[in-house]
Amino acid sequence: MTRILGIFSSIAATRAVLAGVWALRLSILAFTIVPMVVIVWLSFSADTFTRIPPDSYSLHWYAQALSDGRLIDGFLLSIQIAVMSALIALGTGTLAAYGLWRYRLVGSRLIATLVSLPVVIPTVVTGLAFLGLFSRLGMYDAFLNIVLGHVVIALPFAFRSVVVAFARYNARLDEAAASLGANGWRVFINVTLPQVRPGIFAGGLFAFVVSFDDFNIAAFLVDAETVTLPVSMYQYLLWLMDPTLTAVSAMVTLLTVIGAVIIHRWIGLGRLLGVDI
Amino acid sequence: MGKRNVSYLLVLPAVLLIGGFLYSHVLLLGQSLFVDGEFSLDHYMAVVSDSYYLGIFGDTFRITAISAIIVVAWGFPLAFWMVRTNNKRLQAFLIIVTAVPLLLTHVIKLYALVLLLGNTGVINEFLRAIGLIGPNESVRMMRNEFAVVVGLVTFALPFGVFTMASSIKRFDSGIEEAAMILGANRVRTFVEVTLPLVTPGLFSALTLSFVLASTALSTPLILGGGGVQMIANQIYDQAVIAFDFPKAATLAVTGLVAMTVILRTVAFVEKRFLFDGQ
Repeated sequence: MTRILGIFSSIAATRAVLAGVWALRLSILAFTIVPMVVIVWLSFSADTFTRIPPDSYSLHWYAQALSDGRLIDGFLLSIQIAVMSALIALGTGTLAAYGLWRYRLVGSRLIATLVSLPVVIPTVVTGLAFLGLFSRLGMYDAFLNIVLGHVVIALPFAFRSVVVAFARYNARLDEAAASLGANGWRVFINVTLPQVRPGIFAGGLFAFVVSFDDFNIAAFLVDAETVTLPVSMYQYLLWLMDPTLTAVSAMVTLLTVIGAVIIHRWIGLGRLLGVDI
Repeated sequence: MGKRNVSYLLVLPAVLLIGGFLYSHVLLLGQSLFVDGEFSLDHYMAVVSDSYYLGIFGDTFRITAISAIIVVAWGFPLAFWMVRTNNKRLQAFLIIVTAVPLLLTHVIKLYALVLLLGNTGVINEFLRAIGLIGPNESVRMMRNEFAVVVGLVTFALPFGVFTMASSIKRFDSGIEEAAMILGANRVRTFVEVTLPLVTPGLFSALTLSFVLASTALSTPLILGGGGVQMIANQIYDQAVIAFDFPKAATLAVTGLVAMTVILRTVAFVEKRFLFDGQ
């Protein structure tokens, strides 16, 4: 091994390896960036169907996207569902994380494991399981069913994010506030909450993304009137390839890029995703 | 009400939700294990003895393994660059470029791939424009395994990259500097010092990418276009199109068991491999 590697001691060979590394780096950046650029580029087309390259450019398909019922309805529905699911997942996740942190419960480790369980089961299996559960219980409100499904798959992320925030928080501050006469609720609102807010915010945001992005759960739970954006886009793709879809995709892409930059400045994307980078 | 009771009240909503989640999976398992109210393994026998389904299982794990290996091999240089660059602006750029696809709705990325890979897509039009293929020719890159692998790599890549980045960040770059001071060049330092240290991280990224890719539903639906059948879209077809819920449930449970076996095997191999490397 050492002898083989010795070959690389020559400067020319090292240079060749470095060139290879740069080729890999640039190719993967292109692989990541090009699809998003293509979406935005083609969304400015003025043609009646997707032509590459477009003959002329306009904002026509943006106007079309905003007036066309199906996709924009799906977009608004997905926003509603994502906001509701994120708030519920965050509320229940924060309460559970706080309960486990503040009090020593019998079986707290078991509870923490259980709450994290939905991550382990593939969402396509969970979607199927929820379809079975809701038809068994006679629950046919698609909106409610999708929200419940999303709450469950988002809960582990919201919970973990808040647990991490509490773990970093110094409990002495609570004791200090209590010794100065604040009651339990006031301690939580005025002392604890402001300190763990970034973690809670990150958890809520990630729960929103999990819900907004979800295809696997919603695919099983949608009905004719209640179709989230990813499923609606899939149904649209099956029949039509007009640039309305491109315009909607471009809008969501641009919003995501802007959102990511703001989040990175504000709380850091590493914190949002729960990774140390 | 005692303090302890209050605290149980706090965890109650989450526990109820998880209770519903568990109950739904028990129902799912029950659907696969009972025929006309009696316990029976008939559903499983029907799946395991059918070469059509066995083929789909084989295809799923083969396509997924290829995608996961590409994610790790191709994503590693990006992860390493992201952690080790001294340029803070470049680092922020690399983190954002990796995170945006993770946050962006996956179906939108799949649609972008349709626009890129289709017969009248960006790549084929480009090849025609530069004369590499004739005006009526096209390179088929959609509705086949190639398209699905590209989609799965797109899907799993950011997760793989961030997993590897965390593991690279965890070890001290001083060890590498020491190796260089002792006379090893960059390549040798990388192969003999860095790579063994990050191998556990590579295995985590490989496993995570494998799990994510093997359960992806929208990717084979949109890019496979009926030409590529994977377990996830079989489950979906059986439940939503054929209304055969027990069959869908059986495929789901069998898929989970198969995946668990594969992951255990990978973990075993990793242990042996790392142990031998010492």
